[in-house]
Amino acid sequence: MTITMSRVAVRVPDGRDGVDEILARYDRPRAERRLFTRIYGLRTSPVLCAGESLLEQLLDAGREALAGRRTALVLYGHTLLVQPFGHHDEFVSEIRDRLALPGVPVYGISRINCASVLRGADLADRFLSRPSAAPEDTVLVLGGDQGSMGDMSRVIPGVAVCGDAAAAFVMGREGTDHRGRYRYLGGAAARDDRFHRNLRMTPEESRAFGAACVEGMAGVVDAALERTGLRRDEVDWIMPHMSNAFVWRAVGGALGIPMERICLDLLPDQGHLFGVDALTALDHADRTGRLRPGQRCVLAAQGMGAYFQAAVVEVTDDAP
Amino acid sequence: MSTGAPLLSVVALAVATEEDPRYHDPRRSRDTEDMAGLFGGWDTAREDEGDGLLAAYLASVAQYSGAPPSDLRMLTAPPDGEDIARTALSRLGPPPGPQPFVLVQASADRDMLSAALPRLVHESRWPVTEDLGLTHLGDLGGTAVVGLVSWWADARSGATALVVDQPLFALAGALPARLTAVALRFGDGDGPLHVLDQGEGRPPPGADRSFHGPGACGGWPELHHALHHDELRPDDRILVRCGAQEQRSWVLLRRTASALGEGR
Repeated sequence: MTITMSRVAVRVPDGRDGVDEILARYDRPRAERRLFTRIYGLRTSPVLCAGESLLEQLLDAGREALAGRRTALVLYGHTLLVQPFGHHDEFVSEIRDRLALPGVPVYGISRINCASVLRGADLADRFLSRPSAAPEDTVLVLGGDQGSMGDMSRVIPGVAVCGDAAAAFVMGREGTDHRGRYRYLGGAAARDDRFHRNLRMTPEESRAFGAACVEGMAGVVDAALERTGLRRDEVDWIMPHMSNAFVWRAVGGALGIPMERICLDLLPDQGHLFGVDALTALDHADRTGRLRPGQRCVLAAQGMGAYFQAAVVEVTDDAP
Repeated sequence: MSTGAPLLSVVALAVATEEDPRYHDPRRSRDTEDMAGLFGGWDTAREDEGDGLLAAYLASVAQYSGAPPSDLRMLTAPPDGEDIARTALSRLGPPPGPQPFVLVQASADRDMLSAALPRLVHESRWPVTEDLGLTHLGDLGGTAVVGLVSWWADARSGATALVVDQPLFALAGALPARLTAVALRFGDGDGPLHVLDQGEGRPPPGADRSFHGPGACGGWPELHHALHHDELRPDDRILVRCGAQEQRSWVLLRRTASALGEGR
């Protein structure tokens, strides 16, 4: 049985706020502002404009990914728990009603922060592999957040500025009912719960967290490769969690993977988009003609708390 | 979810409550420690325009509930620092071996700056293989989690689910009298409560006992009470319903002769 992923439907709003402007408004020190723009390589962050909403972006991306087909399960990975559509179960109703999916189970996947969207892919793989799965079953995975709801939810001090975006893809068994663009080879997850204090961490804990992030990210990439029987030198691309370039120089060094194989093109313009960084990087690499059939990509994400998630996909011959 | 043969059981459950939880008017206490604990203080950015995170969230809650922001009250920290989530897990006790853990909670946390899920895992010191949170389920949470566990967890290792119903916001004059957390341990088909089916809408007929309650925890606390008072007979078909609307979501169970596991 081969599980594949569709192309990724990405919705990044056209609006941009300057990273320096956001940090200045948030009263961050000048040294940190320079760090973000000069060392981390962050220039702007996407922002929803008047009349736009995250819910509509999610629905729009979901609609494109589904392409008129029904699905058996919807998983929505997100980071923020404060959302304009997160008060009760209204999101479930919206998805069912507006994507014409009556009665389909819809789960919000969260509390593992920015690892939640790629975890959704891993959950979808397990759902599709369960003994009672029907061959035509598919899973719609949605992801995305609205950092711009307030600057408190937009800035991770010392680490990243988070932008607004949504993404969606469908996973299913490769066959007549579902043709994917990427073969899902497997994934891995890791947790380091020493850092559960999150934004309440002391400076000492924050320093330890920084080191643990590099170690954790490299470790989960290795774990995913081991699970799929691949070596590091068989990886063509890393589609990274885009908190900042500094982290990836360290992770790339730890893994022995050169920076030119880590797709950071979108970093200056988009920066960190919560859980959909790796998906937007994958979509970008595909759209710009960099991916060829047979290439292996590792999608990587990290969540505060701390959580790490990696997924390994292989580019297939094209799909309709 | 129709499981066919009973592959999944509820092997233990535990309940914790907080009575008469304290809610306050968030607009009048923006400088208090409680507020700082929730949102790290008000955003200074464009504060005069009401563009801070809390202001934006309050506006969206008001829009959702159809009430003016002045009618909204926000949950404060528990007076004794006791956390119903932690208490329910403690009452359930540790799992027999490594297994996954899922936290089901629709609302944001009382303390938005720390991360509740890894904190619970860290503090419990349980051998948790994988953890995640379920959101956006509202009153469906207490039953929908059974559907997820049926394919997410390996029945041989089982899984622990914690359903927490503690609304962060409520309307003045309609404040909840109690906050509830229910901890459920799932195992294979040898357990005392076989999971027969789960769904939404009209439940299947013919249940011998039915337990119903408001919110995501629904009828689980009543079932817990009945089990611990030995009110259920082997082969009883038991319906657990969650939510304010009577036929909203449900789980159908069957009591077996097996003894209930740990959990107070």
